[in-house]
Amino acid sequence: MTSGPHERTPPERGDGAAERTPEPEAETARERFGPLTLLRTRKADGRALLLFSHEEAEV
Amino acid sequence: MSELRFDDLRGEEVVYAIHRQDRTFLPDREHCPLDPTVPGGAETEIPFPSFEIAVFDNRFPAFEAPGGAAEVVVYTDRHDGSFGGLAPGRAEDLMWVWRNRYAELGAREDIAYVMIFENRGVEVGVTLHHPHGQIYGYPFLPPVPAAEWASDERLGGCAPCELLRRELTDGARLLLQSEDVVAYVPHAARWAYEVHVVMRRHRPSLLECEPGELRGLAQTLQSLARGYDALFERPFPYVMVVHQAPTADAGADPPGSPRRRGHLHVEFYPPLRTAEKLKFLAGSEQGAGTFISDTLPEETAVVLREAIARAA
Repeated sequence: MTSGPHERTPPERGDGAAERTPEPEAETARERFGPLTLLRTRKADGRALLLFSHEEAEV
Repeated sequence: MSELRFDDLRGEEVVYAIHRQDRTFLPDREHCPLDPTVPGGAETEIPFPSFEIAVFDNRFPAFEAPGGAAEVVVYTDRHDGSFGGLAPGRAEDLMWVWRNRYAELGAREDIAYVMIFENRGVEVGVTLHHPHGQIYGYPFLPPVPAAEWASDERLGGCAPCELLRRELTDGARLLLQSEDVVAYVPHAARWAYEVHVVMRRHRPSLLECEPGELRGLAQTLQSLARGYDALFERPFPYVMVVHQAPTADAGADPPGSPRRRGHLHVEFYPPLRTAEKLKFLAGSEQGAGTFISDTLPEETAVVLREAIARAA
């Protein structure tokens, strides 16, 4: 459910970048966009999945 | 694949996406498809144990290539929370994510208009509670941005620039002001607590914004969202829509062009007219296209200002 009127979400957990190595057959690429790193990959059914984070990228 | 049919009576497209009838509907917390995937658990839409902001193709798309796009933007890997409750840095990051998607989707030949939005609350049809928004890439120019272009013609220039000038001059409906962003209840608000968040300078889209402007936009949007929650002391339902320049179709100029039209602003359409009562689109709104409001924008602006101050 959504937070109440004065309730603030505690500090984000899991703020690290994606920790799991994508499936071997998935095409992946990392690039920078503004202050963020973008990891491009695909889900098992072929749909695009983009993960934006502050993890340093090798580009 | 969706089907488009043109309604010749109204002069507008209707989208038939019948596969969406079976989309995930208010799953229990343990089966949220927008949560991260727990090691050893069932795979969600995001097969990682943690993430910051995730974007993926909607499993039940209203549009898909080569006839547009439908994406889901997940703001956080935390199930509970809201846009207004995100850490400020995360909200600022979200502005960059929106910018990335506007640029990438807008560059596609099959997309004429990129619309970033968030539906919040079951009152506006939310089917998943995890904090998230959506992006539609329309393969045509929809009626609302088309009407905004017509307003530019009628007013002899950028309509949002002119309307912002009028609101700043009047002052009665202003809610929030910063160096880069202004929020107000518009002079002709259709919804009781409708608010427009407008860039002070003429910025056709997120692409033309300086980093500081993106930060200012995020701050104003969050201040408003928290004020909304404080208004009736409850999570406040709304539809939040980012209005930007069309990316194709007649007259659309590329980013950077001095002739480029459109003015980045974010409109909120909250369905509540009191703490318990919803505004329904009934006879006049649906049959004539004319909103009849029970409240005056100048009066709702007063209580919204107070709510924003309480939430600050």
